[in-house]
Amino acid sequence: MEGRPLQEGELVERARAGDGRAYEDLVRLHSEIAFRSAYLAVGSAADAEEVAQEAFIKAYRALPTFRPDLPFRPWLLRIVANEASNRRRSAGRRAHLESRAVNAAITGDTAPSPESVVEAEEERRALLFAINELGEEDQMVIAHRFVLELSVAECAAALGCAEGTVKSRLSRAVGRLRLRMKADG
Amino acid sequence: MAEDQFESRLRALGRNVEWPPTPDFAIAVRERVSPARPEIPWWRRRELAFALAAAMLLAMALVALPPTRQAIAGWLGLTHVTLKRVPVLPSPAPSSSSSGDRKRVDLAEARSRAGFTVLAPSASVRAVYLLARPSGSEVEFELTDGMLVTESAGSFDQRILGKVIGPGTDVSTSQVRGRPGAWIHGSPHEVAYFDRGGNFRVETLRVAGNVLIWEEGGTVMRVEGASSEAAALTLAAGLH
Repeated sequence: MEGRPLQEGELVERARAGDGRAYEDLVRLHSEIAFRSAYLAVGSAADAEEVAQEAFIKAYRALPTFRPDLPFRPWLLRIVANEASNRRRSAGRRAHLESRAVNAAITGDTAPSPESVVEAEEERRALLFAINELGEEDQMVIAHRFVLELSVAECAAALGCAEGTVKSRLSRAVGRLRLRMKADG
Repeated sequence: MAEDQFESRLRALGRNVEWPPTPDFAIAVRERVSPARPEIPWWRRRELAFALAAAMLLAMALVALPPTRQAIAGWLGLTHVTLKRVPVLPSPAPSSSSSGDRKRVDLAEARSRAGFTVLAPSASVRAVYLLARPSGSEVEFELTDGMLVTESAGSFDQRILGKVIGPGTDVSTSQVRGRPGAWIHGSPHEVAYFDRGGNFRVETLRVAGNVLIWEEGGTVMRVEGASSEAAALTLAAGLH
């Protein structure tokens, strides 16, 4: 994604100088990942919206402390995680991941057969079911690393731990998930 | 299954997760972090729009009326009406008749369907119309002498009607049937309506000539097209 860091850097610089429009663009750039990370933590779309919005407000106020040579996203995800932690504890909820409905309108020579589409969908549902059944720590690390496709550094920021911890937690979580999938057949 | 294959499955899974739609809160965040908000269009904030309308009303009253507290208080008695003075009227007159869902009815039907107490003029009536507005219903009496009596209703705390007033239009206070009112006269001005969200619907503008306007029991009453304030007051006095 060439150009994105520069664009983001410019937006950060302008936002630090008090440009509200630039910050609005920056929010829009990262609102999806912030919202989804918050959703994983608090398990409710309404709470996730409040968490993400508050995180962006706090991030703006903390912009003078942000190092512009570093990427914005991990720093933001750390703030989202902090904002979500109190709410998660009080709400006692967890995100429940669900599979998107299959688009049955795919046609053509290379289109998968209806049977294989259904089979793939069943596999996804089984995998998601198994992830939802994992312990919270395992679910969070797998969801952030694979479902949100964050880097290890970003996962560390979002989960509030060291990169090495992410790697070890991920290894254990994937192992437990594999066992669960085998046990389920 | 090999480790990397399993991880590939997990990554593929991520692209097929049904997430709640991401809300658009970027503007809300910007509004909260920006100390000054000069770039926010006024119509995006209902409260700000009302505050602006009130400020315009006061400014207009100071220009058009003797700057006395009593005169301004009389203006603010029109709780359902916003008067807005502009340097240039925003659009040419599409027609002299009201737009919207307009149906010709008789007086009995108007009274049964309007949802508010309809007062009928004593003068000779050519036609009665019932209109459905976003803010509520409206009844129009078209008189044989060319004048128009209009009655608009909405909820009690709601803005129903707007008047957009350009140069050449004068506004003065009036007493109509014992209630505070306004006599808008001179060059034609434009009429606007508020939608259910309280937004000023400029696209529904239409031109109006001399108008006597007042409020009675939560209904905005208008007499349009009178040649003088006295003639309009006489017509208003005969409403029953």
